[in-house]
Amino acid sequence: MSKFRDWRGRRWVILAAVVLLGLALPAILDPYWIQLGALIFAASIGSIGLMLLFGRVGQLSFGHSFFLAVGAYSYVWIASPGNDGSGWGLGLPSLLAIPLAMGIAAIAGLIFSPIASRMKGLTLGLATLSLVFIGVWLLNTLEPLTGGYNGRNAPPLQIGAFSSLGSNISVLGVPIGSAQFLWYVTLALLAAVGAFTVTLLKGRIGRAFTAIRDAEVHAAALGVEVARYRAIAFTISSAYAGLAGVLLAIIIQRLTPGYWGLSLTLSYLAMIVIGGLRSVSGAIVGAVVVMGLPAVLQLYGYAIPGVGSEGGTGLGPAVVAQVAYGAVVVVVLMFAPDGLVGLLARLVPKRWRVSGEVPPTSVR
Amino acid sequence: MIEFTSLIVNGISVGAIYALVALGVVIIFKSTEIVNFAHPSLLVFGTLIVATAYNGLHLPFYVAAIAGVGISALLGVAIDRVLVRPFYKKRAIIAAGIMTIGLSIVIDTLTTNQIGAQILSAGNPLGSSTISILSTSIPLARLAALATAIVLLMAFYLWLQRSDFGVAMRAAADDPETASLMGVRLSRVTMISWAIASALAVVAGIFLVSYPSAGLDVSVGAVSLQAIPAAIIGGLDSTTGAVVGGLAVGLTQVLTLGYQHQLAFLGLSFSQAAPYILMLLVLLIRPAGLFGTKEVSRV
Amino acid sequence: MILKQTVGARLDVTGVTVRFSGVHVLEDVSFSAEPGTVHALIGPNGAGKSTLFNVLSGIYRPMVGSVMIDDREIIGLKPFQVARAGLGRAFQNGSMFGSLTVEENLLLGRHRLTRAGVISSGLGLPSARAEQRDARVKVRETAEFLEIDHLLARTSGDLSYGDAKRVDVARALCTEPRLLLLDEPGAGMHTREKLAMRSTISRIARELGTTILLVEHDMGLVMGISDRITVLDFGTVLITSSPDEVRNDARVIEAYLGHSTARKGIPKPRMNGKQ
Repeated sequence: MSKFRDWRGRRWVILAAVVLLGLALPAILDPYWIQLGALIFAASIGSIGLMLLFGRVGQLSFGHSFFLAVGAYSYVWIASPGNDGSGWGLGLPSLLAIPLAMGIAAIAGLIFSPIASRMKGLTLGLATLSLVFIGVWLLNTLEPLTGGYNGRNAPPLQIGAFSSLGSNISVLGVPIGSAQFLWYVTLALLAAVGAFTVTLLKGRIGRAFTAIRDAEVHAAALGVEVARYRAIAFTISSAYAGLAGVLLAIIIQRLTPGYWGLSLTLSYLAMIVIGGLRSVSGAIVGAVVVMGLPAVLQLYGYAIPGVGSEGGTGLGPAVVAQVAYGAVVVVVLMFAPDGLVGLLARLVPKRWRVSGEVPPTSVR
Repeated sequence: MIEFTSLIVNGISVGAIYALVALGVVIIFKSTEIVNFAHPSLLVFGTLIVATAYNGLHLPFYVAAIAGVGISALLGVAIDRVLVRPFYKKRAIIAAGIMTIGLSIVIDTLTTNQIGAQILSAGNPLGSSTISILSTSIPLARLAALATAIVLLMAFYLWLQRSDFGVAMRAAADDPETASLMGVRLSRVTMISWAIASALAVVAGIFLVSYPSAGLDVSVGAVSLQAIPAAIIGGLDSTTGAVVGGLAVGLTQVLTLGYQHQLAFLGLSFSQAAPYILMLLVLLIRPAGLFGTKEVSRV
Repeated sequence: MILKQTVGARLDVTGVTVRFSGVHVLEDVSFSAEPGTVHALIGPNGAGKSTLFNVLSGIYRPMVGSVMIDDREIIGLKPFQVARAGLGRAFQNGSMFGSLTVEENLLLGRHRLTRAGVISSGLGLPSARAEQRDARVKVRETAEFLEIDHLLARTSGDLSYGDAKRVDVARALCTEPRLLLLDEPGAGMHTREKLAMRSTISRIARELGTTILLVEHDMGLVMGISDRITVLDFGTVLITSSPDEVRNDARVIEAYLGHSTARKGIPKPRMNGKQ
């Protein structure tokens, strides 16, 4: 019993440390890393959505970038003034645009979910692959909304005096610029999404998800509405993707159709495979690796033989990062099918584990 | 009318090339139940070898072509032996499919980086000559592509029918344990499948980049990716389906491109999305594809 | 610890016919199970018992025929709707959701009796928490009733075959069924485990009032606990009667003996009614 209490105690210590670190880091870090952090937090929200769908319900989707795009462009549409010649806009406050855009992405997922809940596994993956190409085509075509081939600017996020663009305010003597502001906003939303997902997966709905993934027929025999829960999972996943898309739009500021294509979808798949398919922590670790690797190589690649610098000799950091993450996907699937988090869980003593939710099973 | 006829002929000749690529996807699926997402990447890789041997090393076209086909076949075998084999044992079909995505990211990045801004010729023995059929002028290279595709598809079909290999292949995918008890050497079946599939991809690649195409550039990867919808439209476990799917994708693409002015309300990039829209429609009606017998899922 | 009593359902199977690619698997099968009784379904391998179970639980749809649970027609309902109509089912191999614990498996049994939606569950609202707590209490009671409470914390994928089968029965019982289908509850068990299973089944029927329909090969188990027995052979009903009459029925003996000499691999029936 005391062991149990120790473990709980440690868990709070770890949580407190993470929170403190999350609050304090922007004061220390270079803006480059702060912005990267915000990108990672935003991407993590998206990868948690894909983890829930594929890792927990067993529904493979290649359509994630489509729903990211729906969120991003919905935000642009709702928050743009609409009278500045940049295209359609409703001129609503940017803070209000975030939940609305997330809702539109959820509705898009709900519309597709009758198809999604009829299919499973690879069939669904392949069907959703078409969403990516349909999405890119729509982005190129719907010029008043998306700016067409040349793209469109995303309006900055404004909360009170803070803004994601050109803001520089001090709070208690600590400067909170745009980068710091974005860091806190994305981190807070990631914390909310993460906590919501962990609670959801531990409860009634999460058990139904697992039952459907493990043995669909038996789940139905217990009264679980398989098709309905598949649709629910697809909708939640789309909503998370939509939120991630909104945040990415705010961070990268300029949206062009090419960004939301196949490679974006594959990078999200890579995140959950690398980090671990079945847990929120895995989805976050995967986002750190996939988003962080190029950035680290960009800065320190010159020190690694053969990498060189951009435009110089060697392959260049962008190429090396891309090759590395493809290779990591291959290696992880071959040797650690439950991802880096699963690998870690096998190394760390049981009582130290935070969630205990990492079963030693892999994708089939 | 003339325009329509010419588009149809063009669509069929492009579709025949897609059919060859799709056939490779089908061959690997039939013997392993794995969807090889790296197949288009292998096409680009092999074609790049041919182009490099032809331009860089100044080898005669046929030598370069044989080298490209051979090296790709060997790479296919290596992928089968080293990367995919661990997944067969666990019957981890979906994981293996995702693994090939990782592999395609690696290969694509390297080949794209190598090609850069160049447009490489992979040799063009038929030159830019055209002949006139039904009052449409058709590049000879396209006709050769069509003829080669027909010959290869027929040969493969006959071989599957006449030899034991066809049976062994089906047995290997359906029930590996029983098949191996019955004396089918699974590793040989999958190895040969990967070799043939990779070789076919390079043959298709050579035609894909020859006249009237300008040559091998970074866009060929995206073009060859159309083989995936082609294979799925036809049915992943059907060789007939690969041909039909290839033709369907070729025709869809050429027709939507040819009539893009009439279809202007759909936007100029519609021809790129059209094959995928077709795939989605087919999957909705027949989840196993037009000629497929089983659904592509094993969860 | 007394579980909630249920009013056992009456089951009426009338004229059920199933054909797979032209072959009759079930032909005009009719029988009834009275509320609160233990009703056994026996017959040689291939007689159509599993097919009938799949019809009852909504997995197969028969060409013709009717299945009524009390006054409700269940043909045409989806499996989850059949479960909601009060039918619980334990599977042949004691199939577990292997990555979940035993407790979570049993909580899945409570799924249809709980309500929490995505928002209340994800936010951990008091209503969802209270519901979860109640479900845990119910699960523990069921586990204690079946004497598997010591297994609750185990990962269900690691259970022994016999334990998995008992947890499977408990999970079906957690759905508070009015009709419980048990698919070979004694298969693959030791004699002692079988005895325990036998008393468990009797207690479910006697103490909870649940109607039980079971498929079983072990004649000792069947004869010992069943109130009525339906014998299937080649997809048709030979007889529905009391254990004594079934034991002495010439057609039943013929069916079993005929099969066991004609076909191999059929478990030898022990007709003496004793373990």
